[in-house]
Amino acid sequence: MENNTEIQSKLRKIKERFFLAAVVLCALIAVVPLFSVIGYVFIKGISAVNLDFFTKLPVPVGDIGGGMGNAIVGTFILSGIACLVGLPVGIFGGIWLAQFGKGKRGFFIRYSADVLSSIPTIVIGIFAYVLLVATLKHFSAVAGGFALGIIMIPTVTRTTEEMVKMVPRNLYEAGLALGIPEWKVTLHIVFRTAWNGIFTGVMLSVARIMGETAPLIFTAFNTPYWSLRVDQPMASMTVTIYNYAISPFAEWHAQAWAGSLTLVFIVLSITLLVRKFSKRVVYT
Amino acid sequence: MKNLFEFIVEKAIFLSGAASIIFVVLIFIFLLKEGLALFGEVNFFAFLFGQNWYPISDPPQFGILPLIMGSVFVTFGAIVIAVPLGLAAAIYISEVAPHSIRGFLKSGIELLAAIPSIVLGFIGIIFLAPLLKNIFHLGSGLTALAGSIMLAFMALPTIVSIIEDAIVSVPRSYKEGALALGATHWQAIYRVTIPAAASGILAAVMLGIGRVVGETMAVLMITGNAAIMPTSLLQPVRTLTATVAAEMGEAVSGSSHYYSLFAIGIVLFIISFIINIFADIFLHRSKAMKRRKK
Repeated sequence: MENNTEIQSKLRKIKERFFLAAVVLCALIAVVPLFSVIGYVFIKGISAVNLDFFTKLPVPVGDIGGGMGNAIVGTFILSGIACLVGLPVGIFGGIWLAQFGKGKRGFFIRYSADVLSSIPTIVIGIFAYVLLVATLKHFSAVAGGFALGIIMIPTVTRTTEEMVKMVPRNLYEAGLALGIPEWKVTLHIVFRTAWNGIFTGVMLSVARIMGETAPLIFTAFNTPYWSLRVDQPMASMTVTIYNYAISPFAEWHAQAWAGSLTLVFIVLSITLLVRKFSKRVVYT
Repeated sequence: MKNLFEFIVEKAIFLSGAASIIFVVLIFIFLLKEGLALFGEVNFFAFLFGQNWYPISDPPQFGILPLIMGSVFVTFGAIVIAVPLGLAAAIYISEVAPHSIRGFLKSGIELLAAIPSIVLGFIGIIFLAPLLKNIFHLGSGLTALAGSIMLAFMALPTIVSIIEDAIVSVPRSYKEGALALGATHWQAIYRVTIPAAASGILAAVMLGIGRVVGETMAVLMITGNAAIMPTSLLQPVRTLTATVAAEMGEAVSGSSHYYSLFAIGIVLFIISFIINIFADIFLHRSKAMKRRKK
């Protein structure tokens, strides 16, 4: 009898060890490849990164050198247009939700923000295509930026809402008690207090849209030339990487790796910097 | 004058709040407007259940069942890979890992969610596809399995963060109760913590599915893009999203082919809407648990 319990207790311990080890193993299988992605991109990309890569235009297959300067600039311009579309709407929307969004209307808006963020980005791309490309008969940076802007809206709205909600209620009430109109209190006191947190959310969503490809391939399209005109096709890093990556040429692959490295570097730097910055936000 | 200004500002703020609703409705209306035009020529059931997708042959055939099955295969594979790994990683981070690496892993994984899918797709072409080709002795490594593996890693950060959140919000007393009754650490996790976090885990699964179904570029690059009915994960497949991305550029505006791509857009919209409803239900339950904790 005693022997039996001893065996059971041993079995329990073995089981315990086994399953906890399995958890650690699975966690390793999950985490290690994720982190090695960065190392892989770095090793593959670093050899093709040079000054030309940032300043020159793409060259045809066979020619040596060249870069994707236009695509790097294009990505920043497209993100800028996206911000013009997405930020005012997203931020004001978040403020509205935080201040007045308790009832049914608030519920519907929150719900549709969730729906909007779950719509595949390619679908948002074809929406922008119908609205701005098919009607105007040509690809344009505006159409691409517009699609990216829509993608930003739900994230920016929900972060702004959360940040504004964290602002102490008595700040708001103190403003009202001084006789300041409600909208002025909201914009000048509540919004300013929440700004640090909102900025973090905004930059994280900018980092996200910089990596988007699908909504751009038939809106902003691509161009091998320098183009700053927003009513014309515009190159972006993601679409350029895509075009190079699916080609069979080694020179283009090298360019695509360099592009991937640059893109990952930009996106991760934004994310890291913003996180570091946002840790200083303290509400009392 | 001042009142008028205030009125305008207030309305502008409300309109921005409503922007999400406006865009969701607008997107749906535009998809319907372009997509429904297809059904003048093509039977609805022939579209949804037709087994042949030959949009530019003569006569064209617009059966999207192979594309739906392509999406289902890739998604199924990705979830089968990502959920156990994600669950294990979340358990490790929240219950097993020493405190010093917990924070590092948590923010590291969230950081990795920011890696653009185009980069992962490129790694898929160069690294993963040749590897699979050699392991399984295939003609080409560009298969549903390649897509599943890559998408599993794309969905992992989302899945891990949400499950981790759900596990952390299980009241401490549950686990302590189990330990006090003599359960081992693993028994407490497996029998008490995980069941208590079940709705959060389900929400993570749903959001993971949502992420995978909507992903476009990586699948376009690494699944081989053959619009045929798949029978195994080791075949090339083509997903709904990849079809839209690959063919939108060449479809003649106003042709049946063009309309059919918007009809696919409607299907995608509805799928992601349904997934979102389920994710929302589970998330709400999970949040109710969090409130109880407080």
